[in-house]
Amino acid sequence: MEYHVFHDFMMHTKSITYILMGLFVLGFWGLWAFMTSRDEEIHKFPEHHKE
Amino acid sequence: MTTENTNNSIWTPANIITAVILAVGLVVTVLRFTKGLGAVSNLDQNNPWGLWIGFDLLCGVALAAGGYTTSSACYIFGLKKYHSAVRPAILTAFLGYALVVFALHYDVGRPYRLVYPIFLQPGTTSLLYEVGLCVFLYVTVLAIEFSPAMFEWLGMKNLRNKIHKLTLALTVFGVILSTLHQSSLGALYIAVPSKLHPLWYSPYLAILFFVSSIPAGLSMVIFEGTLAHKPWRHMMDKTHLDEHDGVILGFARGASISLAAYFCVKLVAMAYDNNWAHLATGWGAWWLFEVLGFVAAPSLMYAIGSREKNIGLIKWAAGLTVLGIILNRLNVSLVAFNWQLPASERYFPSFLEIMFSIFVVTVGVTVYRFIVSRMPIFFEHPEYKDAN
Repeated sequence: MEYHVFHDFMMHTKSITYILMGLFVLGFWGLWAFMTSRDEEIHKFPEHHKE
Repeated sequence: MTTENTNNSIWTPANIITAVILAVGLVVTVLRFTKGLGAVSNLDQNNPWGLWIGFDLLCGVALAAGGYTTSSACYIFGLKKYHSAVRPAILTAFLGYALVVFALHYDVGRPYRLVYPIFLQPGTTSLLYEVGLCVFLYVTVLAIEFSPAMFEWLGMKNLRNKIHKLTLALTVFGVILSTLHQSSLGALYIAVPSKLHPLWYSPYLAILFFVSSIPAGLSMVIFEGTLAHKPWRHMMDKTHLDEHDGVILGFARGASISLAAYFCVKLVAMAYDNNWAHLATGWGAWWLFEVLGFVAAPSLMYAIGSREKNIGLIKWAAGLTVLGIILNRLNVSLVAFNWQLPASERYFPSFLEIMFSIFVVTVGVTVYRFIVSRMPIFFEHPEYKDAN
């Protein structure tokens, strides 16, 4: 891609950066949900996890 | 649990290897301080910083981050369930920073002038001054944080109790200093945009170094705990053994999230500078190897291990993260540095430089063995149940 002025370059790179940021927010939500899903099961059904 | 040494013979295989490495280190020491840097290293005008900065300093500081991450988790965030991990983490951090200063003497030379940049000729506009000041202050903080264990061992109750009251203040000060110098070490390389490959160069280098120090510290605590668990199990009390799995699972979660954050900042740095085209080159393959193999992969391994309560997988992820941090620091300081120079002018460490780095690690392990075999690191001293 060719850039004629600095504004073009910033427009291009910042647009991609903002899209990535949105994807990262979703990704973090997914990672946290994946890691804690078993914890929630324990909270929902504590009687199943009694020793 | 006993502090008695049951093995009477000092001529064990481990001790013999240690003695040989220490002897080689002494030879390097004599050569370095009598014949100069050129006699022991391949450093030159193009490559003034070599393995001793890349490995001993950058990796040493990053991997010693377990001190501030663990103590802030316990004392600032109030996660007392990680209390048993604090003393081993503080000890590792203290030894790590002490060895950074020790190794820096060999690189800089003239150790008797070490006080100059701090007390006599402070260059207050220099990042190196900021790093030096922070490391000087943080080594002092770590020494004070570690000292209660030593005073308990020596039976100096009054002094130990006075220092114990400073714990929270020292932790806060330690976090501030760590934030400053972990990032400043990355910021040093912002000064060399024409020398560092674009895939590793970024205006965000300071943020990248600081963010990556968090999973480095957490992983080092897990890694070191794994290594120490077998030989010093007899030194660990019931509390330490009972909390061991909880510490690993909790730290795995923190490491997974912080590695994911580091991965995101890496991609943002790439997008901001529009460096995507470099990914199609050989350097790009090496960058992807580092970022996918030693950042994204351990982050997922930690997440799976934390979810499935798979301690073995978490320990492998910790080892991979420690390797990844070493690889990243060496890439920034050595591999991708001066990447445009012809092969004949590129730097490769000399045999004695490599031996010196092994010597420094061996000194650390030897001192660590001495301390944990005697002082209350893995157990609470019976007379001090409020031990930090």
